[in-house]
Amino acid sequence: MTPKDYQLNDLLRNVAVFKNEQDYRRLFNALFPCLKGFAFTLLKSEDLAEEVASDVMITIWRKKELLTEVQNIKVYAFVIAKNLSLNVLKQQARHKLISLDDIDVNLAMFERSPEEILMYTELKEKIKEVTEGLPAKCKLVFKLVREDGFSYKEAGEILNISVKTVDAHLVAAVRKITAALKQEFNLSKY
Amino acid sequence: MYEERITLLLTRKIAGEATADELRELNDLLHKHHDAVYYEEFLKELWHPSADTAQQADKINSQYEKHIARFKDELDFTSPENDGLISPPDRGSLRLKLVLLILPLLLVIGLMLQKVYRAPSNKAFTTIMAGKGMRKQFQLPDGTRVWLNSESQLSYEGDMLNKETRTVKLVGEAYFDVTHNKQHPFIVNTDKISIKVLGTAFNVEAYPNAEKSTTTLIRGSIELSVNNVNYSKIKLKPSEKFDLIEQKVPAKQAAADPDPVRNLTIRLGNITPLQVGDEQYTTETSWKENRLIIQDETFEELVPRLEKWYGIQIKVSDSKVLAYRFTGVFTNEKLGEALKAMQTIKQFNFKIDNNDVTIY
Repeated sequence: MTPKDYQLNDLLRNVAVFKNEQDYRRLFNALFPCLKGFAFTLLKSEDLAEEVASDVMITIWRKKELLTEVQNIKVYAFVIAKNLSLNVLKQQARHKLISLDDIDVNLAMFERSPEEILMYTELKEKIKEVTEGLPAKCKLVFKLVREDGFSYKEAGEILNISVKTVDAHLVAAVRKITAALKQEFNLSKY
Repeated sequence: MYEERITLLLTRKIAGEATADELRELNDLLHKHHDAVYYEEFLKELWHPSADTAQQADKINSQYEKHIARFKDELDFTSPENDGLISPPDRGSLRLKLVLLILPLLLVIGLMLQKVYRAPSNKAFTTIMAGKGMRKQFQLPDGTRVWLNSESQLSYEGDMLNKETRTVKLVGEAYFDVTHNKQHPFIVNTDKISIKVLGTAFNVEAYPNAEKSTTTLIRGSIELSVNNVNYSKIKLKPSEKFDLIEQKVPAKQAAADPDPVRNLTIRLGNITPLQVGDEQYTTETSWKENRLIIQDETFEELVPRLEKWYGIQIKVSDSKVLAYRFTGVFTNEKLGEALKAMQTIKQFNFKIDNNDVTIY
Protein backbone atom coordinates (compact mmCIF):
# COMPACT_ATOMS: atom_id res chain seq x y z
CA MET A 1 0.00 0.00 0.00
CA THR A 2 1.28 3.43 -0.91
CA PRO A 3 0.76 6.45 1.36
CA LYS A 4 -1.91 7.55 -1.11
CA ASP A 5 -3.81 4.32 -0.54
CA TYR A 6 -3.74 4.92 3.21
CA GLN A 7 -5.27 8.32 2.54
CA LEU A 8 -8.02 6.64 0.54
CA ASN A 9 -8.80 4.35 3.45
CA ASP A 10 -8.90 7.39 5.75
CA LEU A 11 -11.28 9.12 3.38
CA LEU A 12 -13.52 6.07 3.34
CA ARG A 13 -13.53 5.99 7.13
CA ASN A 14 -14.59 9.64 7.17
CA VAL A 15 -17.35 8.93 4.67
CA ALA A 16 -18.58 6.07 6.85
CA VAL A 17 -18.56 8.08 10.06
CA PHE A 18 -19.59 11.53 8.95
CA LYS A 19 -21.46 10.70 5.74
CA ASN A 20 -20.31 14.03 4.39
CA GLU A 21 -20.24 14.85 0.73
CA GLN A 22 -16.85 16.53 0.81
CA ASP A 23 -14.98 13.35 1.64
CA TYR A 24 -17.12 11.23 -0.65
CA ARG A 25 -16.31 13.57 -3.47
CA ARG A 26 -12.59 13.35 -2.75
CA LEU A 27 -12.86 9.59 -2.78
CA PHE A 28 -14.75 9.82 -6.07
CA ASN A 29 -12.12 12.07 -7.63
CA ALA A 30 -9.34 9.73 -6.57
CA LEU A 31 -10.97 6.49 -7.69
CA PHE A 32 -13.35 7.23 -10.54
CA PRO A 33 -10.84 7.99 -13.34
CA CYS A 34 -8.73 4.88 -12.76
CA LEU A 35 -11.81 2.70 -12.28
CA LYS A 36 -13.22 3.98 -15.53
CA GLY A 37 -9.89 3.40 -17.25
CA PHE A 38 -9.76 -0.16 -15.95
CA ALA A 39 -13.35 -0.88 -16.96
CA PHE A 40 -12.63 0.61 -20.38
CA THR A 41 -9.81 -1.85 -21.03
CA LEU A 42 -12.32 -4.65 -20.52
CA LEU A 43 -15.44 -3.15 -22.08
CA LYS A 44 -14.04 -0.95 -24.83
CA SER A 45 -16.92 1.46 -24.43
CA GLU A 46 -16.65 4.87 -22.78
CA ASP A 47 -20.30 4.87 -21.74
CA LEU A 48 -20.29 1.38 -20.28
CA ALA A 49 -17.00 2.03 -18.50
CA GLU A 50 -18.39 5.18 -16.95
CA GLU A 51 -21.49 3.35 -15.81
CA VAL A 52 -19.42 0.60 -14.22
CA ALA A 53 -17.18 3.12 -12.43
CA SER A 54 -20.29 4.93 -11.19
CA ASP A 55 -21.76 1.63 -9.99
CA VAL A 56 -18.55 0.86 -8.12
CA MET A 57 -18.74 4.23 -6.36
CA ILE A 58 -22.35 3.71 -5.24
CA THR A 59 -21.46 0.20 -4.08
CA ILE A 60 -18.78 1.75 -1.90
CA TRP A 61 -21.34 4.20 -0.53
CA ARG A 62 -23.85 1.44 0.19
CA LYS A 63 -21.29 -0.68 1.98
CA LYS A 64 -19.26 2.12 3.53
CA GLU A 65 -19.65 0.92 7.09
CA LEU A 66 -18.50 -2.60 6.32
CA LEU A 67 -15.74 -1.48 3.98
CA THR A 68 -13.88 0.28 6.75
CA GLU A 69 -12.56 -3.16 7.56
CA VAL A 70 -11.14 -3.66 4.07
CA GLN A 71 -7.38 -3.35 4.03
CA ASN A 72 -7.00 -1.51 0.77
CA ILE A 73 -10.06 0.17 -0.67
CA LYS A 74 -8.46 0.76 -4.04
CA VAL A 75 -7.81 -2.93 -4.58
CA TYR A 76 -11.34 -3.68 -3.42
CA ALA A 77 -12.80 -1.10 -5.80
CA PHE A 78 -10.91 -2.64 -8.72
CA VAL A 79 -12.19 -6.10 -7.84
CA ILE A 80 -15.77 -4.77 -7.92
CA ALA A 81 -15.02 -3.01 -11.21
CA LYS A 82 -13.70 -6.27 -12.66
CA ASN A 83 -16.76 -8.24 -11.54
CA LEU A 84 -19.23 -5.65 -12.77
CA SER A 85 -17.43 -5.43 -16.11
CA LEU A 86 -17.49 -9.19 -16.52
CA ASN A 87 -21.22 -9.11 -15.75
CA VAL A 88 -21.78 -6.58 -18.49
CA LEU A 89 -19.80 -8.71 -20.93
CA LYS A 90 -21.71 -11.77 -19.87
CA GLN A 91 -25.00 -10.05 -20.59
CA GLN A 92 -23.73 -8.89 -23.94
CA ALA A 93 -22.43 -12.27 -24.95
CA ARG A 94 -25.24 -14.22 -23.33
CA HIS A 95 -22.61 -16.74 -22.48
CA LYS A 96 -22.72 -18.39 -19.13
CA LEU A 97 -19.09 -17.87 -18.31
CA ILE A 98 -16.65 -15.25 -19.28
CA SER A 99 -13.05 -15.35 -18.23
CA LEU A 100 -10.44 -12.68 -18.48
CA ASP A 101 -8.65 -14.88 -21.01
CA ASP A 102 -11.53 -14.64 -23.47
CA ILE A 103 -11.64 -10.92 -23.87
CA ASP A 104 -9.73 -8.39 -25.86
CA VAL A 105 -8.24 -5.73 -23.73
CA ASN A 106 -7.82 -2.14 -24.74
CA LEU A 107 -5.16 0.08 -23.29
CA ALA A 108 -5.68 3.80 -23.13
CA MET A 109 -2.15 5.03 -23.01
CA PHE A 110 -0.17 8.20 -23.11
CA GLU A 111 -2.54 10.98 -22.39
CA ARG A 112 -0.01 13.72 -22.76
CA SER A 113 0.43 17.33 -23.71
CA PRO A 114 0.49 18.12 -27.46
CA GLU A 115 4.25 18.70 -27.52
CA GLU A 116 4.89 15.43 -25.86
CA ILE A 117 2.54 13.69 -28.21
CA LEU A 118 4.41 15.12 -31.20
CA MET A 119 7.73 14.06 -29.80
CA TYR A 120 6.62 10.61 -28.93
CA THR A 121 4.12 9.86 -31.64
CA GLU A 122 6.34 7.38 -33.37
CA LEU A 123 7.33 5.68 -30.14
CA LYS A 124 3.78 5.75 -28.92
CA GLU A 125 2.38 4.23 -32.07
CA LYS A 126 4.86 1.44 -31.87
CA ILE A 127 4.22 0.77 -28.20
CA LYS A 128 0.50 0.78 -28.80
CA GLU A 129 0.87 -1.64 -31.64
CA VAL A 130 2.98 -4.00 -29.57
CA THR A 131 0.92 -3.81 -26.40
CA GLU A 132 -2.29 -4.42 -28.31
CA GLY A 133 -0.72 -7.63 -29.51
CA LEU A 134 -0.07 -8.87 -25.97
CA PRO A 135 -2.27 -11.60 -24.45
CA ALA A 136 -5.23 -10.27 -22.44
CA LYS A 137 -3.98 -10.99 -18.93
CA CYS A 138 -0.50 -9.77 -19.81
CA LYS A 139 -2.06 -6.50 -20.95
CA LEU A 140 -4.17 -6.16 -17.80
CA VAL A 141 -1.21 -6.74 -15.52
CA PHE A 142 0.77 -4.20 -17.49
CA LYS A 143 -2.02 -1.66 -17.05
CA LEU A 144 -2.64 -2.28 -13.35
CA VAL A 145 1.01 -2.05 -12.39
CA ARG A 146 2.08 0.65 -14.83
CA GLU A 147 -0.94 2.94 -14.95
CA ASP A 148 -2.63 2.40 -11.62
CA GLY A 149 0.49 1.87 -9.53
CA PHE A 150 -0.59 -1.41 -7.93
CA SER A 151 1.97 -3.71 -6.38
CA TYR A 152 2.41 -7.24 -7.72
CA LYS A 153 0.45 -8.56 -4.75
CA GLU A 154 -2.45 -6.17 -5.28
CA ALA A 155 -2.61 -6.76 -9.03
CA GLY A 156 -2.61 -10.49 -8.26
CA GLU A 157 -5.52 -10.05 -5.86
CA ILE A 158 -7.52 -8.10 -8.40
CA LEU A 159 -6.99 -10.57 -11.24
CA ASN A 160 -7.00 -13.62 -9.01
CA ILE A 161 -3.51 -14.79 -10.02
CA SER A 162 -0.30 -15.36 -8.05
CA VAL A 163 2.43 -12.79 -7.54
CA LYS A 164 4.78 -14.93 -9.61
CA THR A 165 2.35 -14.90 -12.49
CA VAL A 166 2.03 -11.13 -12.23
CA ASP A 167 5.80 -10.80 -12.39
CA ALA A 168 6.00 -13.18 -15.35
CA HIS A 169 3.25 -11.34 -17.27
CA LEU A 170 4.82 -7.98 -16.65
CA VAL A 171 8.33 -9.05 -17.61
CA ALA A 172 6.95 -10.71 -20.71
CA ALA A 173 5.09 -7.51 -21.65
CA VAL A 174 8.13 -5.31 -21.16
CA ARG A 175 10.33 -7.76 -22.99
CA LYS A 176 8.05 -7.84 -26.02
CA ILE A 177 7.76 -4.10 -26.12
CA THR A 178 11.49 -3.50 -25.79
CA ALA A 179 12.29 -6.15 -28.39
CA ALA A 180 9.89 -4.57 -30.85
CA LEU A 181 11.32 -1.13 -30.23
CA LYS A 182 14.84 -2.38 -30.62
CA GLN A 183 13.94 -3.60 -34.04
CA GLU A 184 11.99 -0.52 -34.97
CA PHE A 185 14.60 1.98 -33.96
CA ASN A 186 17.54 -0.03 -35.17
CA LEU A 187 19.25 -0.46 -31.88
CA SER A 188 20.81 -3.51 -33.46
CA LYS A 189 23.98 -3.20 -31.48
CA TYR A 190 21.88 -3.72 -28.44
CA MET B 1 21.55 -13.43 -21.99
CA TYR B 2 22.25 -10.38 -19.83
CA GLU B 3 19.73 -8.38 -21.84
CA GLU B 4 16.85 -10.53 -20.70
CA ARG B 5 18.07 -10.37 -17.15
CA ILE B 6 18.36 -6.60 -17.32
CA THR B 7 14.83 -6.29 -18.67
CA LEU B 8 13.50 -8.47 -15.89
CA LEU B 9 15.32 -6.58 -13.16
CA LEU B 10 14.43 -3.20 -14.62
CA THR B 11 10.77 -4.17 -14.81
CA ARG B 12 10.76 -5.18 -11.18
CA LYS B 13 12.64 -2.05 -10.21
CA ILE B 14 10.21 0.28 -11.94
CA ALA B 15 7.23 -1.62 -10.57
CA GLY B 16 8.77 -1.11 -7.12
CA GLU B 17 9.09 -4.84 -6.54
CA ALA B 18 12.85 -5.39 -6.78
CA THR B 19 14.69 -6.68 -3.72
CA ALA B 20 17.90 -5.04 -2.48
CA ASP B 21 19.93 -7.89 -3.96
CA GLU B 22 18.24 -7.50 -7.30
CA LEU B 23 18.89 -3.77 -7.32
CA ARG B 24 22.56 -4.41 -6.62
CA GLU B 25 22.72 -6.99 -9.39
CA LEU B 26 21.04 -4.55 -11.77
CA ASN B 27 23.54 -1.84 -10.94
CA ASP B 28 26.42 -4.21 -11.62
CA LEU B 29 24.93 -5.28 -14.92
CA LEU B 30 24.27 -1.71 -16.07
CA HIS B 31 27.80 -0.83 -15.07
CA LYS B 32 29.22 -3.63 -17.20
CA HIS B 33 26.99 -2.94 -20.17
CA HIS B 34 26.86 0.76 -20.79
CA ASP B 35 24.64 0.46 -23.83
CA ALA B 36 21.88 -1.01 -21.65
CA VAL B 37 21.22 2.43 -20.17
CA TYR B 38 18.99 2.87 -23.18
CA TYR B 39 16.62 0.35 -21.71
CA GLU B 40 16.35 2.13 -18.43
CA GLU B 41 15.59 5.43 -20.10
CA PHE B 42 13.01 3.80 -22.28
CA LEU B 43 11.33 2.01 -19.41
CA LYS B 44 11.14 5.19 -17.37
CA GLU B 45 9.50 6.77 -20.36
CA LEU B 46 7.05 3.91 -20.65
CA TRP B 47 6.14 4.29 -16.99
CA HIS B 48 5.57 8.01 -17.12
CA PRO B 49 2.16 8.55 -15.52
CA SER B 50 -0.36 10.42 -17.64
CA ALA B 51 -0.51 14.10 -16.78
CA ASP B 52 -3.48 15.63 -14.98
CA THR B 53 -4.86 18.32 -17.18
CA ALA B 54 -7.51 20.94 -16.53
CA GLN B 55 -9.62 19.14 -19.09
CA GLN B 56 -9.60 16.04 -16.94
CA ALA B 57 -10.65 18.09 -13.92
CA ASP B 58 -13.60 19.41 -15.92
CA LYS B 59 -14.46 15.90 -16.95
CA ILE B 60 -14.44 14.58 -13.39
CA ASN B 61 -16.78 17.37 -12.30
CA SER B 62 -19.39 16.48 -14.87
CA GLN B 63 -18.91 12.78 -14.16
CA TYR B 64 -19.48 13.45 -10.49
CA GLU B 65 -22.63 15.44 -11.17
CA LYS B 66 -23.92 12.64 -13.37
CA HIS B 67 -23.16 10.12 -10.66
CA ILE B 68 -24.92 12.20 -7.99
CA ALA B 69 -27.96 12.69 -10.22
CA ARG B 70 -28.12 8.95 -10.86
CA PHE B 71 -28.08 8.00 -7.18
CA LYS B 72 -29.45 11.13 -5.51
CA ASP B 73 -32.00 9.12 -3.51
CA GLU B 74 -29.31 7.03 -1.87
CA LEU B 75 -26.60 9.59 -1.27
CA ASP B 76 -27.99 11.10 1.91
CA PHE B 77 -25.05 13.24 2.95
CA THR B 78 -25.08 15.16 6.17
CA SER B 79 -24.90 18.89 5.58
CA PRO B 80 -21.43 20.46 5.93
CA GLU B 81 -22.27 22.40 9.11
CA ASN B 82 -22.82 19.13 10.87
CA ASP B 83 -19.44 17.72 9.94
CA GLY B 84 -18.14 15.59 12.69
CA LEU B 85 -21.60 14.60 13.67
CA ILE B 86 -23.26 11.28 13.73
CA SER B 87 -26.96 10.78 13.46
CA PRO B 88 -28.42 9.62 16.73
CA PRO B 89 -28.53 5.87 17.11
CA ASP B 90 -32.26 5.74 17.75
CA ARG B 91 -32.93 7.11 14.32
CA GLY B 92 -30.10 5.19 12.68
CA SER B 93 -30.26 1.82 11.05
CA LEU B 94 -28.68 -1.34 12.32
CA ARG B 95 -25.84 -0.76 9.90
CA LEU B 96 -25.11 2.59 11.43
CA LYS B 97 -25.17 1.11 14.89
CA LEU B 98 -22.72 -1.50 13.69
CA VAL B 99 -20.36 1.13 12.43
CA LEU B 100 -20.72 3.17 15.58
CA LEU B 101 -19.55 0.13 17.43
CA ILE B 102 -16.84 -0.94 15.02
CA LEU B 103 -15.24 2.35 14.14
CA PRO B 104 -14.28 3.64 17.56
CA LEU B 105 -13.15 0.15 18.40
CA LEU B 106 -10.85 0.10 15.40
CA LEU B 107 -9.66 3.55 16.31
CA VAL B 108 -9.01 2.53 19.87
CA ILE B 109 -7.30 -0.70 18.83
CA GLY B 110 -5.21 1.33 16.44
CA LEU B 111 -4.30 3.77 19.16
CA MET B 112 -3.49 0.96 21.55
CA LEU B 113 -1.36 -0.86 18.99
CA GLN B 114 0.45 2.34 18.23
CA LYS B 115 1.17 2.79 21.89
CA VAL B 116 2.19 -0.81 22.36
CA TYR B 117 4.76 -0.34 19.63
CA ARG B 118 5.99 2.90 21.04
CA ALA B 119 6.20 2.13 24.70
CA PRO B 120 5.92 -1.01 26.77
CA SER B 121 3.35 0.47 29.13
CA ASN B 122 0.07 2.05 28.14
CA LYS B 123 -0.26 4.75 30.77
CA ALA B 124 -0.70 7.74 28.52
CA PHE B 125 -3.92 9.72 28.59
CA THR B 126 -5.88 10.00 25.44
CA THR B 127 -7.75 13.24 25.03
CA ILE B 128 -10.59 13.67 22.60
CA MET B 129 -11.72 17.15 21.77
CA ALA B 130 -14.73 18.57 20.00
CA GLY B 131 -13.99 22.00 18.55
CA LYS B 132 -16.31 24.93 18.10
CA GLY B 133 -19.60 23.93 16.57
CA MET B 134 -18.53 20.26 16.49
CA ARG B 135 -20.14 17.35 18.24
CA LYS B 136 -18.41 14.00 18.41
CA GLN B 137 -19.41 10.45 19.20
CA PHE B 138 -16.91 7.75 20.11
CA GLN B 139 -16.37 4.70 22.24
CA LEU B 140 -14.00 4.20 25.16
CA PRO B 141 -11.85 1.06 25.53
CA ASP B 142 -14.43 -0.47 27.90
CA GLY B 143 -17.25 -0.08 25.38
CA THR B 144 -18.78 3.02 26.97
CA ARG B 145 -20.24 5.33 24.37
CA VAL B 146 -19.64 9.02 24.66
CA TRP B 147 -21.22 11.94 22.85
CA LEU B 148 -19.06 15.01 23.26
CA ASN B 149 -20.63 18.43 22.79
CA SER B 150 -19.07 21.49 21.22
CA GLU B 151 -15.94 22.96 22.85
CA SER B 152 -15.55 20.03 25.21
CA GLN B 153 -12.83 17.52 25.88
CA LEU B 154 -12.61 14.14 27.51
CA SER B 155 -9.44 12.41 28.71
CA TYR B 156 -9.11 8.75 29.57
CA GLU B 157 -6.38 6.24 30.19
CA GLY B 158 -5.71 3.72 27.48
CA ASP B 159 -5.48 0.91 30.02
CA MET B 160 -8.55 1.94 32.00
CA LEU B 161 -9.77 -1.65 32.08
CA ASN B 162 -6.75 -2.73 34.10
CA LYS B 163 -7.49 -0.16 36.79
CA GLU B 164 -9.77 -0.49 39.78
CA THR B 165 -11.93 2.30 38.50
CA ARG B 166 -12.52 3.51 35.01
CA THR B 167 -11.80 7.20 35.42
CA VAL B 168 -12.34 9.90 32.83
CA LYS B 169 -11.92 13.64 33.07
CA LEU B 170 -14.43 15.91 31.41
CA VAL B 171 -14.25 19.57 30.52
CA GLY B 172 -17.48 20.79 28.97
CA GLU B 173 -20.51 18.68 28.18
CA ALA B 174 -20.91 15.01 27.39
CA TYR B 175 -23.52 12.29 27.32
CA PHE B 176 -22.38 8.89 28.60
CA ASP B 177 -23.85 5.48 27.91
CA VAL B 178 -21.73 3.42 30.29
CA THR B 179 -21.00 -0.25 29.78
CA HIS B 180 -22.04 -2.18 32.87
CA ASN B 181 -19.09 -3.49 34.89
CA LYS B 182 -19.55 -3.83 38.62
CA GLN B 183 -15.91 -4.62 39.32
CA HIS B 184 -14.73 -1.41 37.72
CA PRO B 185 -16.95 1.56 38.60
CA PHE B 186 -16.98 4.33 36.04
CA ILE B 187 -16.06 7.74 37.41
CA VAL B 188 -16.42 11.09 35.71
CA ASN B 189 -14.38 13.89 37.17
CA THR B 190 -15.08 17.48 36.31
CA ASP B 191 -13.86 20.73 37.76
CA LYS B 192 -16.67 20.90 40.27
CA ILE B 193 -18.31 17.54 40.64
CA SER B 194 -17.49 13.85 40.47
CA ILE B 195 -19.91 11.17 39.40
CA LYS B 196 -19.70 7.47 40.14
CA VAL B 197 -21.55 5.10 37.90
CA LEU B 198 -22.24 1.42 37.74
CA GLY B 199 -23.82 1.23 34.32
CA THR B 200 -26.10 3.89 33.06
CA ALA B 201 -26.78 6.71 30.68
CA PHE B 202 -26.46 10.29 31.75
CA ASN B 203 -25.53 13.76 30.63
CA VAL B 204 -22.98 16.04 32.28
CA GLU B 205 -22.70 19.72 31.51
CA ALA B 206 -19.70 21.29 33.19
CA TYR B 207 -18.22 24.10 31.14
CA PRO B 208 -15.40 25.73 33.08
CA ASN B 209 -16.57 29.32 32.53
CA ALA B 210 -20.22 28.68 33.34
CA GLU B 211 -21.75 29.15 36.78
CA LYS B 212 -24.00 26.14 36.50
CA SER B 213 -23.06 22.46 36.19
CA THR B 214 -25.89 20.12 35.35
CA THR B 215 -26.03 16.35 35.56
CA THR B 216 -29.02 14.61 34.05
CA LEU B 217 -29.69 10.93 34.53
CA ILE B 218 -31.53 9.09 31.77
CA ARG B 219 -31.45 5.53 33.13
CA GLY B 220 -29.61 3.47 35.76
CA SER B 221 -28.27 5.16 38.86
CA ILE B 222 -25.39 7.42 39.67
CA GLU B 223 -23.76 8.73 42.80
CA LEU B 224 -22.65 12.28 42.74
CA SER B 225 -20.35 14.33 44.93
CA VAL B 226 -19.30 17.94 44.80
CA ASN B 227 -15.53 18.31 44.73
CA ASN B 228 -13.90 19.55 47.96
CA VAL B 229 -17.20 19.56 49.80
CA ASN B 230 -18.00 17.01 52.46
CA TYR B 231 -21.59 16.47 51.49
CA SER B 232 -22.95 13.05 51.86
CA LYS B 233 -23.13 11.63 48.41
CA ILE B 234 -26.19 12.37 46.39
CA LYS B 235 -27.94 9.59 44.52
CA LEU B 236 -29.86 10.35 41.38
CA LYS B 237 -32.76 8.32 40.11
CA PRO B 238 -33.71 8.10 36.44
CA SER B 239 -35.10 11.28 34.93
CA GLU B 240 -33.72 13.39 37.78
CA LYS B 241 -31.35 16.18 37.26
CA PHE B 242 -28.83 17.86 39.48
CA ASP B 243 -27.75 21.48 39.16
CA LEU B 244 -24.77 22.91 40.92
CA ILE B 245 -24.70 26.67 40.84
CA GLU B 246 -21.53 28.35 41.92
CA GLN B 247 -21.52 32.09 42.41
CA LYS B 248 -18.16 33.72 42.25
CA VAL B 249 -17.19 35.46 45.45
CA PRO B 250 -16.35 39.11 44.67
CA ALA B 251 -12.66 39.54 43.90
CA LYS B 252 -11.99 41.83 46.87
CA GLN B 253 -13.25 39.30 49.33
CA ALA B 254 -11.49 36.46 47.55
CA ALA B 255 -8.14 38.21 47.73
CA ALA B 256 -8.48 38.62 51.49
CA ASP B 257 -9.29 35.01 52.02
CA PRO B 258 -6.69 32.52 50.77
CA ASP B 259 -9.25 29.72 50.81
CA PRO B 260 -12.36 31.48 49.57
CA VAL B 261 -15.75 30.11 50.44
CA ARG B 262 -17.69 29.14 47.39
CA ASN B 263 -21.33 30.09 47.26
CA LEU B 264 -22.79 26.83 46.17
CA THR B 265 -26.42 26.13 45.42
CA ILE B 266 -27.62 22.66 44.75
CA ARG B 267 -30.89 22.06 43.01
CA LEU B 268 -32.50 18.72 42.40
CA GLY B 269 -35.21 18.52 39.83
CA ASN B 270 -36.97 16.36 37.32
CA ILE B 271 -36.54 16.29 33.62
CA THR B 272 -39.69 17.61 32.09
CA PRO B 273 -40.09 16.50 28.54
CA LEU B 274 -40.72 19.39 26.21
CA GLN B 275 -43.66 19.22 23.85
CA VAL B 276 -43.10 20.95 20.55
CA GLY B 277 -45.68 20.21 17.92
CA ASP B 278 -46.38 16.50 17.95
CA GLU B 279 -43.01 15.48 19.38
CA GLN B 280 -41.62 15.25 22.87
CA TYR B 281 -38.02 16.17 23.51
CA THR B 282 -35.65 15.89 26.40
CA THR B 283 -33.99 19.27 26.38
CA GLU B 284 -30.93 18.21 28.34
CA THR B 285 -29.80 15.52 25.93
CA SER B 286 -31.22 16.64 22.61
CA TRP B 287 -27.85 18.06 21.54
CA LYS B 288 -26.50 14.58 21.08
CA GLU B 289 -29.26 13.91 18.59
CA ASN B 290 -28.19 17.03 16.82
CA ARG B 291 -31.27 18.95 17.90
CA LEU B 292 -31.19 22.45 19.23
CA ILE B 293 -34.26 22.93 21.36
CA ILE B 294 -35.50 26.38 22.20
CA GLN B 295 -38.16 26.68 24.83
CA ASP B 296 -39.65 30.12 25.26
CA GLU B 297 -36.26 31.77 25.39
CA THR B 298 -35.31 35.34 24.72
CA PHE B 299 -32.83 36.10 21.97
CA GLU B 300 -30.47 37.28 24.67
CA GLU B 301 -30.54 33.83 26.25
CA LEU B 302 -30.17 32.24 22.85
CA VAL B 303 -27.04 34.11 21.77
CA PRO B 304 -24.54 32.00 23.80
CA ARG B 305 -26.33 28.78 22.84
CA LEU B 306 -26.33 29.60 19.15
CA GLU B 307 -22.69 30.65 19.39
CA LYS B 308 -21.75 27.31 20.91
CA TRP B 309 -23.97 25.29 18.60
CA TYR B 310 -22.66 26.75 15.36
CA GLY B 311 -19.20 27.82 16.54
CA ILE B 312 -19.84 31.46 15.69
CA GLN B 313 -19.78 34.97 17.18
CA ILE B 314 -23.02 36.91 17.34
CA LYS B 315 -23.27 40.66 17.60
CA VAL B 316 -26.67 42.21 18.18
CA SER B 317 -26.85 45.86 17.29
CA ASP B 318 -30.61 46.25 17.78
CA SER B 319 -31.38 45.83 21.48
CA LYS B 320 -35.08 45.38 20.67
CA VAL B 321 -34.22 41.98 19.18
CA LEU B 322 -32.73 40.75 22.44
CA ALA B 323 -36.15 40.70 24.09
CA TYR B 324 -37.83 38.61 21.38
CA ARG B 325 -38.93 35.22 22.61
CA PHE B 326 -38.66 32.00 20.60
CA THR B 327 -39.77 28.38 20.89
CA GLY B 328 -38.72 25.75 18.38
CA VAL B 329 -36.57 22.80 17.42
CA PHE B 330 -33.72 22.82 14.93
CA THR B 331 -32.55 19.53 13.48
CA ASN B 332 -29.61 19.66 11.07
CA GLU B 333 -30.53 23.19 10.02
CA LYS B 334 -27.68 25.32 8.84
CA LEU B 335 -27.15 28.67 10.54
CA GLY B 336 -28.72 30.62 7.68
CA GLU B 337 -31.75 28.36 7.59
CA ALA B 338 -32.21 28.62 11.33
CA LEU B 339 -32.05 32.41 11.32
CA LYS B 340 -34.43 32.58 8.36
CA ALA B 341 -36.89 30.38 10.23
CA MET B 342 -36.64 32.73 13.21
CA GLN B 343 -37.27 35.71 10.93
CA THR B 344 -40.66 34.26 10.10
CA ILE B 345 -41.59 34.60 13.78
CA LYS B 346 -40.10 37.99 14.60
CA GLN B 347 -38.86 40.83 12.44
CA PHE B 348 -35.07 41.26 12.30
CA ASN B 349 -32.22 41.29 9.81
CA PHE B 350 -28.98 39.34 9.84
CA LYS B 351 -25.69 39.24 8.03
CA ILE B 352 -23.35 36.21 8.07
CA ASP B 353 -19.68 36.87 7.42
CA ASN B 354 -17.77 33.60 7.94
CA ASN B 355 -18.02 33.03 11.67
CA ASP B 356 -19.30 36.48 12.52
CA VAL B 357 -23.01 37.13 12.59
CA THR B 358 -24.55 40.55 12.94
CA ILE B 359 -28.17 40.94 13.96
CA TYR B 360 -29.75 44.30 13.26
